[in-house]
Amino acid sequence: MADRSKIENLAKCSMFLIFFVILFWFCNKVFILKRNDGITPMQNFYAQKQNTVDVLFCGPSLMGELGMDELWYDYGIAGYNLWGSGEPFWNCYFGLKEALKSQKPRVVVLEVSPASYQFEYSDNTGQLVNTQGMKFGKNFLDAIRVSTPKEKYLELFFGIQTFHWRFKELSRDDFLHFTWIQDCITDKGSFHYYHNNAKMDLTDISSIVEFKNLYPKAEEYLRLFIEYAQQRKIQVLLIKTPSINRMAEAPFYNCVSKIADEYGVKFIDTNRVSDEIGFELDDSADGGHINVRGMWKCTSYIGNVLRNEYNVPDRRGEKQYISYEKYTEKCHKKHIVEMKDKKGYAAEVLRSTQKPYLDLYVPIYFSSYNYNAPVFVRCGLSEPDNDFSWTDRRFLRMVCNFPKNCMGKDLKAKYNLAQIFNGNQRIIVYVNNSRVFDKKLSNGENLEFHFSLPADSVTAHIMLEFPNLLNNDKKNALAIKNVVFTE
Amino acid sequence: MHFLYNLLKFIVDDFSIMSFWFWTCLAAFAVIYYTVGKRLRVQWILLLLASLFFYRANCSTKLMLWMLVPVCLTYLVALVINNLQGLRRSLLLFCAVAASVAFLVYFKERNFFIVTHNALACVFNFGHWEKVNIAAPLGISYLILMLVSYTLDVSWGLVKPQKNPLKFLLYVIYFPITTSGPITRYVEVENQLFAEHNFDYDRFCFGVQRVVWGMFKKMIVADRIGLIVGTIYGNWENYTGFTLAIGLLAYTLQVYTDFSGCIDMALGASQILGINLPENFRQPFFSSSLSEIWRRWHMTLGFWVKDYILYPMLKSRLIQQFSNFLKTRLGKKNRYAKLIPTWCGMLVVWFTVGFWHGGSWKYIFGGGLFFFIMIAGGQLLEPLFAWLIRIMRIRTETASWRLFHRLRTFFLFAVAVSFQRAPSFKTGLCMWKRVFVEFNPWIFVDGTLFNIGLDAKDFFVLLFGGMIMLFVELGEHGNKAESISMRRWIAGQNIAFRWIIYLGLVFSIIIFGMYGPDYNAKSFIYAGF
Repeated sequence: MADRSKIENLAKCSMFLIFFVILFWFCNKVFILKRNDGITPMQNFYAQKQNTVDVLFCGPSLMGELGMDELWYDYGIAGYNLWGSGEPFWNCYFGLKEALKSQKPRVVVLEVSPASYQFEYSDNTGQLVNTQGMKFGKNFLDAIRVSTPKEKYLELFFGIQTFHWRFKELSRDDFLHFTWIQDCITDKGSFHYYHNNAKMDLTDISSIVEFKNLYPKAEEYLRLFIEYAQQRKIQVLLIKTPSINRMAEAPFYNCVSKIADEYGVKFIDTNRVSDEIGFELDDSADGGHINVRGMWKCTSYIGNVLRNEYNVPDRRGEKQYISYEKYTEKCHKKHIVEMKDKKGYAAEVLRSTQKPYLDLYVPIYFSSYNYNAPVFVRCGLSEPDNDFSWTDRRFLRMVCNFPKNCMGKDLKAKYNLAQIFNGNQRIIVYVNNSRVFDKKLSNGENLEFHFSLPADSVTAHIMLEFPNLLNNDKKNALAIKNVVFTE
Repeated sequence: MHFLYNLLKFIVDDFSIMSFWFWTCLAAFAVIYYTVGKRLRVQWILLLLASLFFYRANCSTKLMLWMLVPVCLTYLVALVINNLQGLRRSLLLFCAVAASVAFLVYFKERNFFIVTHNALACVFNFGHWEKVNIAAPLGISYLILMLVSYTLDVSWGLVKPQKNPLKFLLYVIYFPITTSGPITRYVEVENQLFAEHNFDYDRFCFGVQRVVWGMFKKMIVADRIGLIVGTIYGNWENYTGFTLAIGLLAYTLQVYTDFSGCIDMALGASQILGINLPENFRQPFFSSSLSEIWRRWHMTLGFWVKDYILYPMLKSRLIQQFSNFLKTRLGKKNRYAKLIPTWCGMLVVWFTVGFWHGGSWKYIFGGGLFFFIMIAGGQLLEPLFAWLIRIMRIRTETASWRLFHRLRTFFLFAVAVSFQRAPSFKTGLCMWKRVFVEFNPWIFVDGTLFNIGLDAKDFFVLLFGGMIMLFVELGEHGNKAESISMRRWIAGQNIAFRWIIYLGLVFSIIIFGMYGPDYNAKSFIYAGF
């Protein structure tokens, strides 16, 4: 009798634990941040039909911008872009190991920007997004072990620790990221930039021949990556997409070139073949990433190499690859929408007309990681519903560029401070290091101040200081709307 | 071995009662405890080892050794005290208690004397002392009260001294109680701590449920209220009227949910191991008077001061003589002849309670003297209140009257407790002054409530959590004799319903709890006292 009761209790506990694990898995799936710089490319990779990926692209965001849609459209190459946020080689390595569980690509393409990384661990965001998309297993555990210091193992192991705050912002989309959902299958990982906020670095570096050694951990995992692919009889292609600073980074890529030679692997440094590719100044999104125009050129070049040197087959028309057709169609529709999008459109207009604008970089606080969001605001044309928040920063810095005819003039700035937590806040405003405003303002009140633009400059450095903002209060938030400058 | 060493080192980095590792290790420990421990009859030794590990993980070796000083002293005194008679016995008892108290004062309350000295120095113009902030051994405030109670119980012949020093050490540092109590008397756990325990499925489940319930209180309710409190107290100069009052009153709710949550976790953890600890709370906010609230709030501290300070004082020769003197002067039946000696005892008790909470006047007033003034004042004015009730024909048996009493009691209690969070007693007074400088009822409708630390969604989660707590407390309040009535009620339901409740509770903590890299939910308010 006692034994029966014991068995019953044991069965009950086991059933309860099973329910718990299922619910926990479901919550993890729903709450995980659906970021396309690491998490969703990995998640959606699992949704791909087995052995349908011919070319696997790995690397940081600079790889993410290569268009799988264009590769398919122009060459019929079935590629998948398994990229991450600033993804270092160790995350690429574990990503590759995970990917090869379900796919047998002919070629693995690795973007080698991480060769210039000089750190043991990525920042918090990188650690998180480059591991959380993975399914639970040995690779996931190894990736955590290598990606983060030991005191943060648990944080990454239970991603929900970081993501559970998202209960405030869950949307329909969060419940649709399961591998059986069609949208996941028809995603191929790429991400496109449509704007052009900086010029591409087109400096000639053909004369730079010196070498700089890679950070030991980066070199170790670059070698492991190549060796693992070669063990699995997969060809490796190393590429370097356009650099932000060609001169400074070139010695690292020279070293990569040497390593590539050691393994008999091809390395394409697009910085050295810009003319061949046909890059122009406007092909960059922000100096570092190429925009859609740059992507078309770069993808076309890589596609050519893959077709001619690696004999990657043309899969167009094959039944198994229907998802690529859908993906390409989806991307093309998006190109049209995005290019007409007000943000891109406004950027284009402003760039061509050189009208006054405010380029505002605000650290957006979201859960445990910060990232800078470039927000484009110009006189009278504001971005609606851009709410920014930050955590422990008391300063908001902005660089405002005005038209030349504003030089030396008295200007008035009017900010609508839509929401400041902690009630009334004392706000101090500095323009070019001079204090122009110091007062307590309450929620919704307008912040107005006057300042003069120097006679020889169109730039004003504006800094808002919130001296009473609590450092330890994570809920401080500031929303600025409708910034208007007038004479 | 190396892996084990690294793992232990890793665990020791964060082994508070709110840490993942604590509960993981407890689960593993429970398995060893009920299998190997039971078979080899070494459960109490395992408990001692676990307690030592917990203590060391949360406190430096040096402080741990310091902690052993009063423990050894008390152990030795208890062994010999009953062999002594007369003055030597009294002297030794006094020295043992005084040494323990001095130890507590040295580590926790020394700044009170420094501040008082400096205040006097300003008046009489002599040298100032610098404030000293030194780390104290873990749970020293609770530990000393337990040692004093043990010493006195042994000397009064209520318990036999524990001859085994390791068993005595286990009583003192038993890990569930070291963080924030409850203040446990030796007699309450003597038979449980050293006895063999069989695994009991129902008891185990109840223990786990209690732990989860404690986490719910702490992580969903207390820490959210903490954001409101932090915002208002941190910028109190910017707030007035109702906004400030909300922050001041909310602190009491934060303390309650935080402290009772911690106690629930401690009691639950202990129950998992088969040891029932004394309850510390019994729905305090359903109290109708301040004296009642202290019979329901931090009950173990209340019993301690009553048994070891109030009653001995009232029975002391000095108070008895004073009482006789008053009776002769005022007449035997005069109520003040009875009340005044009691007030003398109460004054000492409330001063001690306040002082124990922290060596500062804000604690002495907010944690003690305020209650003395209110209780003694209430007793003093009792005839006036009775007369008012009579002439106003108030029906005191109605629910509305009871509700009024409860709200009044909560308000007075919250006023006192609000001083404890203020930077100083003076600031506490200034804050209350600012409550009355503006009448701003619009804050309840203009969205201000969502701008004082919590946004609308967090606010609704807090309300939801608060409603569940209220529902549970109401249920348990109706059944005073059975403190776990709600758990028993749930246990009597069908399995599907039970599991929905359990899983709902667990996942509400996982989703809505204040934890993770953005938030430190590890510290308990009462762990600082």
